[in-house]
Amino acid sequence: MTKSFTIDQLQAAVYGDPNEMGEAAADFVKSKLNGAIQQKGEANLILATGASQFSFLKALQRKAIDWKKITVFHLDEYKGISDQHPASFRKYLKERILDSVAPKKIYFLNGDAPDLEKEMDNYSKALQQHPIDVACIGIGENGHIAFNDPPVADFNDPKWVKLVSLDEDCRNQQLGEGWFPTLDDVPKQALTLTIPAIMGCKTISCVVPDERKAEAVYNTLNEEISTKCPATVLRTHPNTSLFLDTNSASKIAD
Amino acid sequence: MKFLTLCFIFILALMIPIESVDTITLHGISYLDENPVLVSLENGKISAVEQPNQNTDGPDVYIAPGLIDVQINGYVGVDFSGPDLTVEGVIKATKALWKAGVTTYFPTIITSDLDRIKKNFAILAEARKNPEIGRSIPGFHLEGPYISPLAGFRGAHLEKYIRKPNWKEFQELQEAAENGIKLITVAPEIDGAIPFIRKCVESGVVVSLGHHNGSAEQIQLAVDAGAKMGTHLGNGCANEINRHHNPIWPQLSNDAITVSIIADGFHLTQEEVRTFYKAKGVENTILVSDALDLAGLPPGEYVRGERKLVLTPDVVKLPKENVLAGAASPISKCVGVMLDYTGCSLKNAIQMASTNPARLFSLYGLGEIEVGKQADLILFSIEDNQVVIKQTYVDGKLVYKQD
Repeated sequence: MTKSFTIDQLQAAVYGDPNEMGEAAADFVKSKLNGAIQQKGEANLILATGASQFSFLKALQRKAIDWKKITVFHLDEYKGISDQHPASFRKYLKERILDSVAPKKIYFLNGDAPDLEKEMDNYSKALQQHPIDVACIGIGENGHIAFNDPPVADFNDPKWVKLVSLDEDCRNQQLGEGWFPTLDDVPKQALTLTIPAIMGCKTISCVVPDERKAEAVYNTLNEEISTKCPATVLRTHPNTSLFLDTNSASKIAD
Repeated sequence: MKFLTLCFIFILALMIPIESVDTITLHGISYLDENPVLVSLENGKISAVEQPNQNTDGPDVYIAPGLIDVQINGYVGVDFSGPDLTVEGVIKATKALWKAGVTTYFPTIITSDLDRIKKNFAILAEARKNPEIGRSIPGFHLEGPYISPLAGFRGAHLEKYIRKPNWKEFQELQEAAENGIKLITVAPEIDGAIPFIRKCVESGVVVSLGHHNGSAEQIQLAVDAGAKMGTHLGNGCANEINRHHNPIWPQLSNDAITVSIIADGFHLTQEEVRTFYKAKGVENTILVSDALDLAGLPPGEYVRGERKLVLTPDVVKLPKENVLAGAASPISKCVGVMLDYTGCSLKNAIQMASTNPARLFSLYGLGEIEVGKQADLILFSIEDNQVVIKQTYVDGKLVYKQD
């Protein structure tokens, strides 16, 4: 770790490279999960996707965690793509962690369900029945958390899961990370956990590496808390840790 | 009124499914809580799980997810390791297993001549492409040839085919299997086993420790390398072992190891089954049949290779020596034995025979009755702690109905 600091209630730390950052976040999540297991025999976890989560997920699956006691949810999924689509978050999570750790139970958010209202309703109910111990999230280039882009983010959203339109920046980020061949292929809508659903989690571990995210990180830490940069809301959460690398932290003043 | 009419039809039809356009609704008793439940199937998936109207008397059958057997050597005379394996044979065995409530299984090839292993994996890989039965075979189990050569520990595996772990060789087998090998049973104490286990795990193959005489330390090294399972704990082990230092205690004590057990009423004593179950708990136990190809055939004398075998209704024996030669019961029988031996709930017994293997092998659509899951289901009664399969559904289609 090169440095750590606290802004409002948000604890942030900067690491030398994405691997070091991923290891630190994985250790943090491990200790929270094991603490929950010790306390109540099981734990509930939300996982995030995207290029920013690679090093963290790689590190997490090597940690001593009894996955047989962990129920897993995820943050979001594109509308209308199958779990075989290369950009599917379900596919991503299966291949990058779930196949190897085999958790007790996984709730997949099926963006291609025939009845999306019912799917979101079922997912909301399942979330309500499983108070989340740790939510692992990232921050988008536009400051989004999950798919709560600035135009649709609502800090007082009454819903737990909702269908949103993705903004241009967000869709360009997905194109830029190489998940889709052209911008037209990036879905225009997605299902996402809302901001209150995320903020209601006991602990939030936010992993944000890469130069591309430097501005979003700067805004998260310095802008006024508002949906203009949805991630600013994390500064009001009592138990959130932000894991950065030197590149994503490059715009933060020393 | 429409709903009441429907309910009336339920009472009349008892277990007969109601078909509307594409939906089948099954009425039975949930294996989870023993309450009445309606399960609707649509396009091969479970589309609804609902409580029936309180006033409705449902049929007296349980509904559970189809059983999953990750260790089965053959069935109805089809030997997955045998010289005569054909795609037709695999189809025949699969359909016969459906009748026994097994909707998913890993055909298991044991220690044999390498060319035979390759040839048979290629046949199994071909069989998996069959649209009718392919989805019942999400993977294969390779039991050996990298196991202990010692008598007792090697069990019925032929010593002359037992080998040292060889990653390149395994890759050739995996290639013949078209990447279908999802589970391998390995002995952790033999030369090169630990790096081999690590490579298997990295390639996505689940490693199970079996037919071994590993020490506590060797078992821990294997777990550190990513091994997750113990194969048929208590079997594939010498009759006489050290009371302190033996391969059983470390596998019982280590929570990172899920053990499979052959609870057929013969391969383990009631005390062993109870003890293993208490030590490992429902989460860390899975039921396997380890059935020989004679399973599912009428009792009698059979010749296999140069040996004469006797199939009783329950187990295969060597008549000369009067010892067990292998298992002959599908895991539906083992579910009944678990209920009988341990007094566990039906929910737990089914968890060990379906939910746990689905979880361990990342078979995401299987092992639970839940909206969106694959409609692989069994309807059954329990008579004197024996599971009697009444109907089996695979991919939403009725594939077996008791006469």
